[in-house]
Amino acid sequence: MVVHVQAFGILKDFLGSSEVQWNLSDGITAEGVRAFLKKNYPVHPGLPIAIVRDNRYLADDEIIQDQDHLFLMPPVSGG
Amino acid sequence: MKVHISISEVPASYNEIMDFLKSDHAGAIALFEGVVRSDVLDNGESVTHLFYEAHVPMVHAETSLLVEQMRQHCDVYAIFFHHLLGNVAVGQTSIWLGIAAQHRKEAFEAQTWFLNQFKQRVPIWKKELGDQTQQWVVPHE
Repeated sequence: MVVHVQAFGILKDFLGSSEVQWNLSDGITAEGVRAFLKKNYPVHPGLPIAIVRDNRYLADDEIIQDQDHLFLMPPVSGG
Repeated sequence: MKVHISISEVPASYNEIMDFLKSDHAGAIALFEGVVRSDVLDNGESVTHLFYEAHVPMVHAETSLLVEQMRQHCDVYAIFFHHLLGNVAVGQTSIWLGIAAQHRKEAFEAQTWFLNQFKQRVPIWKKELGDQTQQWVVPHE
């Protein structure tokens, strides 16, 4: 299945782009997406990453759906 | 409680903020401005600007949630929050937080509580820019 991914902050540097599409396994969870990111891109293993869908933070065990739009967020640094 | 939440590339104005916050019941108005300072980048270069980006819908959602939680902690009449996006030069303001309350104690406490929560939860990111280099700010947890 295909998911559309938009990254913010330092994650854009790791992905090489602000927006990418990934082919992921059916039934993958938010935690699985995080693992996919850290396996395929040079992301620091200890970097906390939040995943947002439909303006809501996903729990680790939430299932990702085909054609989902996901937002990957590193620790915030506003102000 | 009156609430103003905004994020854009346009600075807030003092008159706009005070017009929003002032009322006959508010004996204290605390206005905080976060100003871009000239830190030193890892290569020794001085920061000239900060670049801000955000997930705007989540900024509104999270900030609104913070305001709701603040109601439970603090007795305030009004809150004005504005954050800039894009490039902001050293010496310029990037965030405004105004709180109106009956007394200064409530206003200052609410301001401190809100800012501490904001820095941890609201999805805004900044990059430090020098003349030659730039680097994202990643808080250590």
